[in-house]
Order: sequence, then C-alpha cells, then structure tokens
Amino acid sequence: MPLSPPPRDAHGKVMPHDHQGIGSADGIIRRISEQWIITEPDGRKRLSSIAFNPSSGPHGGMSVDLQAQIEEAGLNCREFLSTTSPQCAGSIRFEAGALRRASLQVGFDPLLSNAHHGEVWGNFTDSMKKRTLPGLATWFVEIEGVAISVRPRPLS
Amino acid sequence: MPRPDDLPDFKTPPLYEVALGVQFTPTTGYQQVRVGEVWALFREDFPSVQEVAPLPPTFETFGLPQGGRVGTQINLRPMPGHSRYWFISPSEDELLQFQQDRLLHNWRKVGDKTNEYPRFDALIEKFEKELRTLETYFSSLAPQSLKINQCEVSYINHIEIENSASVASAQDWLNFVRFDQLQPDDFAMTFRRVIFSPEDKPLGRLIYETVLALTENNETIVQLTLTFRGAPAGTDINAAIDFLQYGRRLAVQSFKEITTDMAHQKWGMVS
Amino acid sequence: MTAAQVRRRFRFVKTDDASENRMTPVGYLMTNFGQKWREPVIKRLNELVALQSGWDGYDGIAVTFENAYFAVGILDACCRGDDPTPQIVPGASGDLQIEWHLEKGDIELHIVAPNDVHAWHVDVNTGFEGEGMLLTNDFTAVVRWIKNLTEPTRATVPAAS
Repeated sequence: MPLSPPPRDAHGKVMPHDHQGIGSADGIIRRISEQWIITEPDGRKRLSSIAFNPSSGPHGGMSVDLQAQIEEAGLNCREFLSTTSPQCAGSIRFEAGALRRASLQVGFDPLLSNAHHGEVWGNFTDSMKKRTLPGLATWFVEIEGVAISVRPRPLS
Repeated sequence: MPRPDDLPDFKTPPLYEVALGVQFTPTTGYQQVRVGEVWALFREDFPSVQEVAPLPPTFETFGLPQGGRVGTQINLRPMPGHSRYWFISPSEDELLQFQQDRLLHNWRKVGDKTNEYPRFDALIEKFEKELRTLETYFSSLAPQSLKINQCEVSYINHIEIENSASVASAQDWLNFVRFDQLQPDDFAMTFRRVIFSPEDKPLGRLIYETVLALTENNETIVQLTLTFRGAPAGTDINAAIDFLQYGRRLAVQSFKEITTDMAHQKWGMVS
Repeated sequence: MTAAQVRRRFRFVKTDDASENRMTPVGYLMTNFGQKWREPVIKRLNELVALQSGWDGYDGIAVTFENAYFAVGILDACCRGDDPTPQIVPGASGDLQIEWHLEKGDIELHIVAPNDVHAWHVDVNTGFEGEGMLLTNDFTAVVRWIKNLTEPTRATVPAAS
C-alpha cells in the first residue's frame, strides 16, 4: 500500500516523523560508499562510523531506501539500488522495528530522484553511531572482505 | 567609538597599511556570476575594480608548537572558481577585497605617501557597515546570516633605515634585533605568540614579521607587520568586531614593546 | 592580505602581498617539514573535495574546501612528523572525519565545520564507550590522545629475584 504523504514544514521540507505505514519487519536499506571503508590495525576492513551519520541541516536524518515500498512497486530491490550513479559499493539493512526500539524514528521522504527514499531521525550519539547501529545492521549487498563492525578489541 | 586613552599613540608612525578582514563559510545561493551585484553594494565608494588571485582558507589552530611551519602552503585541486576582487576608492587609498568566503577592508599609503591614516576607529565603523550590507545581500539569496570563522587585523609598517648601507642599523629601531659586530646583507624574521584568555584558552595568534625590503622608489626599509588572527568568540558580526577591536589593542601595544626608545622619539610618541 | 607594493630585497621571502600572484601549480606541496603524514593526507583530501554530487547514492556533496583546509590545520596542531597517517572519510554534507585506529585505541575527529569538531577517543583509560568532546580550535587534548596511543608501553620492571 502506498505510504501516506509525510508531514512538511512551511518550506516544504519533510519534518522528522515516524511513519506508521512502515511496518516493524520492513527492511530499511542504507547504501554504502567505498569511501567509508577503513582499515583496523590488524588489517581487517570495516565501515567507518560516519556511515551511520545523519546529514546536517534542518531536519537532517540518515538517508535510507524503503525496501517494502520498492518491492511493492514491482522492482527488484538490489537492482533498484544498483541503478544509482555513481554506483554504491554495497548496502546494509536494518529492520524498522529494531531502529524504533533504539529510540529512532523511521520516516518517508520521497524525492524526485528517488520515490522510495526514507530517513531515520533521532539522537545520533557516539554510542548510537559506533555501537548500536552497526550492531543492528546486516549486509544487503555485501562488500567482500569488509565487516560492518568489528567487536571492540581489548585495549591494553 | 573614541580611541581608548590608554593605547600608545604616535604623531608620525611608520604605518603604511592596515587591513581588517573576516573569513566566513561560503553562503547558500551565491555564485561568482553574482559578483557584480556585490560590487553594486559598494560601488559608490569604491568605483574601480581589479581581479586578483584568490586566497585559500586560513585557520589558526592550537595544540603543538608550530615552529618552522610558518607559511606552509597547501593547494587542493580543483580550487574554487572564484577570483578575489578589489573594489578600489577614487583616491585608491582604501579598498575592499571580496571573494566568496572573505571580506577585507584595507587602508594604505599611496602616491607621495602623504595621505593621512583615518584611524582604526573610523575604519572599523566602515567595515562593520560593509559587513552588515553584505550580510543583508546574502540573506536576500536565502535565509541566512554570515557565519564568520576567522578574523584578522594587520598593521604593516615601513621603517626607513636612515643608513641603508648598514642593514645592522635595523637594530636601532627594533629591540628584538641585535647584530652587534655582524654585518648581514639582509634579514627576515618571523615569530608568533599564542594569546590566551584569562581562562587559559587560546584566543588567537599574534604574528610578528620583519623583512628587509625595497620600496617602489628603491628605498631600503624594514617592513614590520603585526597581525592578530583567530576565531571570534561567536560567528556573528558583533563577535567579529569585538575580535578586531581586541586585536588592534594587542597590535598597537606590541608595536610599542618591540620598537626602541629612539624609534619612539623619532615617531613622536605622545603616550 | 595586504595591498602593499614592496619588493623583497636580495632573496625570496614568503609574502602576503596581495598584489603578487601566489598561485602555485595546483596539487603540489610547498613543504612538508618532515611530516610523513602530510603528502598522503593532501592526496586524500584532493580526492574528497572532488567527489561527485550524489557520491553516497543519495544527496551527498563533496567535502568543502574550508573543511579540508581546516582538517590540515588540525593535523598541523596535533601531529608530530612521525605520527601515524590518519584515515580520512567524507560525510554527506561536506563534512569529514579524521580517524586513527591503532593497537592501543581509536581517535575520531568529525569536522562538521571550521571550529566545530566532535572529537572522540577510546583507549584503556576511557572504557568501552570512549569519551567525546566538542572542540573549536584548541586541539591540545588530541595531542595527548595521540601521544597516549603512540608511545611505547613501558615494560614492567621485573621484581627482584
């Protein structure tokens, strides 16, 4: 079912909201750029915490794609993601319910360039960006040899 | 604003140029194609224009001592495509320098060098008006105000060396220079001090630059430049003006501290 | 920033003379003062300021020039010549993050804008969650953090037998 239009401010910008039309089990996809791959001291590669940053500016949130909406439109989600230019190296997936349990809002923010665009809003603390969100994510289109996060190593 | 009474003052200082400047985040909606609109804001007072190479962003940061790295330049490609424009007054003694992230107001000696310095208080009043005019213009392009991230005040002095055959005579004017028996052919010296707040936080850097130079008339001078540069306490114009006022005080006091009694006498120090 | 018209006598000296063309060939470093990290950092920043619009698959923009220059200013203030080269990653809004991931801990400096830096580090002293602070232009704390992560661990003195 198409999502109802999101709330907008006086300038027409989508305001942070939690859209009830996005179900708890719905996939929330985040495209991942190769620019965000860093190297740990043991040589393993993983994603930088900046991959889990919201954008700045009024109503800034973390951009995502809404898997259920893409599939309802009859599109293959992986193919849909691969049509962006420049192509992203991969993508990760959250469950909407898991994000909400982490006190985040999952909303709908359609763009001219992407009708299935969404946003995740909330308090992006260090802990959220460095621990919680990487812990909730799984690969959707995996980047070979790159971990989403690594278990914090013992520091001595 | 009247000149503070406790500042050193001179009847005939060797002052050659004063520059007041701010650096700000490039604004939304502005592109170089609009520079004519900016010039139009100031054209009545600055009817001539000249295009020169842009200045890269400059920031004072604090942590490790940065000795030896004065003047280190980096160049990132591609450089933003906005020239620096000089809007010049009819007598050419004052100019505004504008680029997408900077506004500066300079006063300088010109021609036979008899043009009188209008004094800092008059200059900063003009500069504040110019900043507010520019901010009003930018706010017409998008709802925004200037976000100032760096301020700078520079005093450039041309100290005539009476005995140009002896570079060592520079020590007669500058009390941190001491050549004794040495007879150098030339010299250049830069040193910097971090200026701290009462809470021991860095406020900015005071930069002293001296170099032996030749004027366009081939006169040997020591060019002494005192610059105070740093981030203002806030990003608005009021904070920038406060910073420049403070920097002026520092520069003028430092000028007195680093020049000799003989120099003070020659320049007619009154306080 | 000056409009002064003087020539330097006898030998070249760096000048702020606004009337001189100070443009050097783009992409060339002037000096590195023995800072091993400088050249790779400049190379990386050159990549990041040239990122295409939408590079992140959404509305991402290139790292802004002012943030890139500020990043170099931070590193000049924090890093000794032989300190390890940081990794640098772009944010979506022209921001960037400078990161060190070393055996003894991690440091991340998120440059949102000049004088607006979210600094975070984790090491044996901070505990699992690490410690964050907002910094403007004073990076004395980061100097300490880097020193903690790069200094060799002192060998324990064996008990006398």
